[in-house]
Formats: sequence, C-alpha cells, structure tokens
Amino acid sequence: MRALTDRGQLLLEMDTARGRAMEAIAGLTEAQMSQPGLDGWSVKDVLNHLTACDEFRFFEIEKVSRSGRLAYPGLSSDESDSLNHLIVTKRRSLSLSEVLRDLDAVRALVLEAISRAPDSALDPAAYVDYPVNGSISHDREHAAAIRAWRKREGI
Amino acid sequence: MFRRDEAISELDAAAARIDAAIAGLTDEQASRPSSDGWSAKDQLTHITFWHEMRFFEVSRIAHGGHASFPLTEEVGVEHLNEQIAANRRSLALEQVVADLRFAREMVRQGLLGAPEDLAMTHFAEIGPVGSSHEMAHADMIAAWRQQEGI
Repeated sequence: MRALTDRGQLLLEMDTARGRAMEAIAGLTEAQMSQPGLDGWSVKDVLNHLTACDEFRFFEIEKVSRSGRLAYPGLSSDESDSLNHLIVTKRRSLSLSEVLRDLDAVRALVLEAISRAPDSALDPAAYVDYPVNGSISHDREHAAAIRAWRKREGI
Repeated sequence: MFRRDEAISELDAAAARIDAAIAGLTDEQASRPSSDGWSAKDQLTHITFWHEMRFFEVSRIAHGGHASFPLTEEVGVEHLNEQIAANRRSLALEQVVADLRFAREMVRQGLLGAPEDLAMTHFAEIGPVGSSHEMAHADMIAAWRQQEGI
C-alpha cells in the first residue's frame, strides 16, 4: 500500500472506495441483503462490519492524533475473526435502514477525525496493521465480493 | 426514565472515583496483575473500550436506532474482554488514562445529544452511562491497593 501524505487525496480515495461499495449493493432488497451468501455473511453483515471497522478506526485516529499508540496493534487473524464474528452476530437484528444510517454516521465521524488530525496522524506507518487509509482497500475488497456474489446469484 | 443531567452527574462521580483509585500509582504498579489476573491498567483499558462502544450505542439509540449489543450469551463477551485487555496491555499508563478520559468525554457528548426521555431499556447490554461499571472497577482497584499496601 502506498503512503498517502495528502489529506485531500486520502479523503477523496476513501469517498471513492465507499462509493464503490454502495454501488455494489444498489438495487438489492432487504431480503436479498440478508441472504448469507458471502462466506456465511450477508450484505447487511458486511455493512455492519464496515461500520464496526470505522468505529474502531475513529478511536485509533484519535489516539494517534494525541501522540498515543494503537489499541489494536497487530491483531492475529484469529483475534480479528473472533472480534468480527461477535460484532456482526450482535448486530444481525438491526434493520437495513439502521445499518445504512450507522454506516453513514460513523463514516462522517471518521472523516471529521481525519480532517482535524495533525499531519503525523495521517501516516499509515503510524497505524501498523490498521492503517488510516485501510478502509480504501477494505471497501473495495468487500465491494468486489458483493459484486461477484450478485453475479453468481443473478441478482 | 432516562434523566440526562443525572446520567452526566453519575459519569462525573465515576470519573472522580477512578481518579482517586489510581492516584499516585506508577506505571509499574498499575501494570501488576492482581489475583484475578488483571492489572489496574487492564481495568482502565476495559472501561475505555466499553465507553468507546457506548458512545456509538448512545448515538445510535439517540437517533431512534436499536441496541447493537443486545443481551446475548456471556461467553463471547468474556472472550472479548480478555482480548481487548491483552491488546492494550502494552500501552503506557499516561495514554491509558488519556484514552479513558477521551472515551468518557465522547459518551458525555453523546448523552448531551440524546433526548431527555430516552428509555434506559433501549440500551440492553452496554447501558447508557457506564458509571456503575466504572465505580465497580474503581472499587476493585482501591481494594487491590489496600491489599497490596500501595
């Protein structure tokens, strides 16, 4: 992953990647979004997962902005899977409208945190395995998986 | 019935109890595990994590949403608590305290944005304030210090 030093570029790329994710779910009904076709997860689960990652990201950016260290340095894949599973399972009862509202609200907080962060807090190297620009590739990855699932299912 | 001013007062009281419980502790002392395996720092990072989650929960429910942490099985939550404590164990006491204050302030801001008539029952597992949670851990730290004579 290349280093991003320009705040505007970072915000633009985050916005573009999130736009791809939203394009990938466009036109799906809530029933379709609740089908567990993505390795056991539904589209709604994926959206809750993106929100949860932004929730963690928000506080990580704030920590680094205060010259602190990360709360989640180098999570193992088992730890990460366990955390993801717990949070996604807990949020499964939320309605689609709530899921989408959460997605937007938490993303707005992350963008605000980035906007006011010192330059030093925009260096991906400060974040080890949870880089400040990590949502870009993460959003793209999940958007691609959703598109592939829709193609397979013909929806 | 949720009373915002009371909730914020409780949060302030809990903050004062935590500050008193950890006053004068060095980083080394705060890192010593007690008999149950957790250090004072672990207890502080644990409170911080739940305030971080609570902030989003308060914001979500204040805008008409539902709890994203409904009451479910305890095993997953216990595992989560252990994982979070382990992840944050290497942080310096100074940061641990700063992180707690920041997360608590975010909860306070979330509460200030919530309507006065918010039903407590909407919050399920996490709870709207976390003051009793903080006080319980403050008391554990105080008891441990008394036991250790520090």
